[in-house]
Amino acid sequence: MALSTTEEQTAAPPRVVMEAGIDPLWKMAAYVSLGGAALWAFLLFRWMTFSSFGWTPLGAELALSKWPPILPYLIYGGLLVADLVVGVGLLRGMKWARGVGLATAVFAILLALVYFLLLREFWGATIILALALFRLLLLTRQVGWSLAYPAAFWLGIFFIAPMVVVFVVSLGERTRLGTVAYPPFELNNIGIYFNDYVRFFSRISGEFIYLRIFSRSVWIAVLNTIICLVIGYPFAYWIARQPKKYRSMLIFLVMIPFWTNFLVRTYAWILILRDSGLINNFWTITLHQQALLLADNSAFFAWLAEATSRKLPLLFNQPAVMMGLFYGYLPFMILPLYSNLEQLDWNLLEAAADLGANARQSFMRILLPLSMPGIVAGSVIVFIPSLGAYVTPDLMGGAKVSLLGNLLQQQFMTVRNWPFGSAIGFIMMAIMLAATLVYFRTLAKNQQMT
Amino acid sequence: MKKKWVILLVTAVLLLAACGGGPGGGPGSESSTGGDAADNTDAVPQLADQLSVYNWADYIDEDLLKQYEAEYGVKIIYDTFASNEDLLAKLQAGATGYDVIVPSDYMVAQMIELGLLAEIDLNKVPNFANIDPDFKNAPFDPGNQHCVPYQWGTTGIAYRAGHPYFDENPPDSWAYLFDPELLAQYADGGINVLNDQRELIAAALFYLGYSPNSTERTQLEEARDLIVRAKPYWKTFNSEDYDDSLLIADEVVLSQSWSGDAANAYWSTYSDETEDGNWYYAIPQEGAVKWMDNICVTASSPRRDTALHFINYLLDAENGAAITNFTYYASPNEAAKAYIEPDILSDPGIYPPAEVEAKLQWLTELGDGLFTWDEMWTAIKGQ
Repeated sequence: MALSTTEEQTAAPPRVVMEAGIDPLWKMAAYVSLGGAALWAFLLFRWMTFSSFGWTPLGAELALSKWPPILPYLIYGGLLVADLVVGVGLLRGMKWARGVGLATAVFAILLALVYFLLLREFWGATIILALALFRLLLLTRQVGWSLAYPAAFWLGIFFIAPMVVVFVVSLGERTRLGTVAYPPFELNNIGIYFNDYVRFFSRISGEFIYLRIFSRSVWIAVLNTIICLVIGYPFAYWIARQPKKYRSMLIFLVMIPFWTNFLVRTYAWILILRDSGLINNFWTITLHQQALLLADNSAFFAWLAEATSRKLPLLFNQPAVMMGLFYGYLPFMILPLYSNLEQLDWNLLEAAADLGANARQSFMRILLPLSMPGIVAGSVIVFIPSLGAYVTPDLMGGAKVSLLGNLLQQQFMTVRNWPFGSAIGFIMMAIMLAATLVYFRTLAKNQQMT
Repeated sequence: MKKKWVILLVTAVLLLAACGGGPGGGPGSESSTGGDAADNTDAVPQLADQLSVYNWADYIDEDLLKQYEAEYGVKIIYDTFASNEDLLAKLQAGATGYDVIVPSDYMVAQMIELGLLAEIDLNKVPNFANIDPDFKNAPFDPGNQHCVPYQWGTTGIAYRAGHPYFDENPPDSWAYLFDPELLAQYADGGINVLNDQRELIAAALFYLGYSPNSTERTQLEEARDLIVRAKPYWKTFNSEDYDDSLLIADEVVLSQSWSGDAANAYWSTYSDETEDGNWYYAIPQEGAVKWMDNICVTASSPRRDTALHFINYLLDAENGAAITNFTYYASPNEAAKAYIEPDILSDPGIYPPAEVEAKLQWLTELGDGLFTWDEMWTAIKGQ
């Protein structure tokens, strides 16, 4: 959606020329330039007053201190002057300002690249690059890209670039010392780069150890999605049928647990479920004593007294992991379902009833198809994090059984086989991508239907 | 008007920049306090104003750090890790800024090979003389070129005192962790093993009579099968907070355990009435892992002299004793024994007698064998 509009607008940039004043895009470019100038002025000020104020040095400043002392002044000062001139020039509507602005933007992009290559300082290079690219887009009147720019830049730097790094690492192999090495490139032997992907799917000393962990993770994620759906759907339906004034209150209650960190909530569950926890204390102490008193009177209490003499195995097993996952992800199922059901036209159900449909028919043929987008959205949002669950199996399952998340952690930390860990990460990503595609497909189909 | 103002500002800034005298080279000047490698002839080196220390969790009496800060005016940035592998992963990922780290034996060998540790000048650590000669010149760091000993201990079995079965048969063998017939007697009370690839498989190898550093495939497969058979009887894999969350909380009755954690559980549950604690510790007769943690300086540290000064402070007899009195791990510091509490000195779990000590073995670096170990561990965890 967003992409296609962007393309349309790049193809035919709308003329937004105002009668009086300056082109809004250039005005924006001017503000970006002045913002940049303020940044350089601040950095210059820091640099000059370093010894007197005792600033904590930034990475960029530590890196720059390796260069001759005059260079930082030239860099900061030069960028400051250039940005100031361009900014003021643009605001005044000077003809030359656009050309100078473009030139300085291109220069700053080159500077950022050289700076990164020479000093390997990430943040400084990123900031210079971000400002320069933005100005370039604004001055070349790329309306769509300019609007999408902050998000696009963010995604590029913090999502796409790391993904490329992970992929490149996944092609390497672990050396004896745990570093990453790449086999020499040979055209007829390209398969060697994908050894780690092959290993994941192959039999190792007679067992598919990785596939087993994988299939267990998928199974648990699917099971969790189904449980969340079965419990969450009626709940969302119930909320959606409440009078309007209560609905937001109820949804608010669903969201309250998010105010507490997930790890803290997991530990709270451990305190409740463990052998000396809340439930087991009630079971083996309070209930047990009462049952003992009444044991002589009836067979039921005799049985209860016997049962309560042993602790309930509530923690550190598979059901505990399922419980933890269900608890953690139920709100993610309820919220999309609710927002879908809330917009439903309930008159349709009445009409169905008028036309003689029974409850089952009107659910299967009206409610369910109409709430499909909510079901799919909720399922995808629950399935994906369940597949990568790490904390819950580790803490509530007693770390006895690995899931994919634990396998990943083990590869990166214990074994330090980064290439294999990256390969697992990529395989997981492929599955999640497939799940998301299913989501969009279903959504698109649904939109065609209506 | 406005234009003039702008021009004025620009020239003013340029003028200021041209003077250049103010900052004295910006943060570059800071390196003179940081990089104190030059003046090493002085008896008291010029100390940096801060030092960052990366240690195991709960592994020092933090009062010592405060005392050092107060005495020498060096601010200590203290941070903790949970396993050797965590530490290595962090350093390998390019984390700089740690000056003093505390890796264990086999990890020291690996870090030396990776070039992550600085060579240290023992002349600047006069208190090194306090160290028991038995712990000097360890195989993983010949001649103590990179590290000095910090604390040492063993990996054995902690069990609940007062448990009816253990009262009759005190655990003295790894069989209590691996033999299904024995496990069936008390497994409903809960059993914990260390969530540590090296330690758990090493214990199984000891039980089978093999070397804890074996890289033979058949032996490792035997160990894997042994663990897989025993696993249904175990409740948890925990090596991080098991002494507090499992032992002291009475969630288990038996646990593979490091000596100091077992002693911590004992003293935390000690009652003056019975003059006893709830947790006993045994070193199995088949033998057990002996390990030693070491204080090292990272190769990337710009504050080596300060780091060595701090290390020397930790090796002081009274300070070494304070650490042991806090962590319940044995100190390699011979001179410290005079200040260590007698209860700890006489505890055979912490300071094992000679005939037991003869059965203890170091873990050594596995080289390519690590891949086989990893495979077994994945199979164990995947079951």
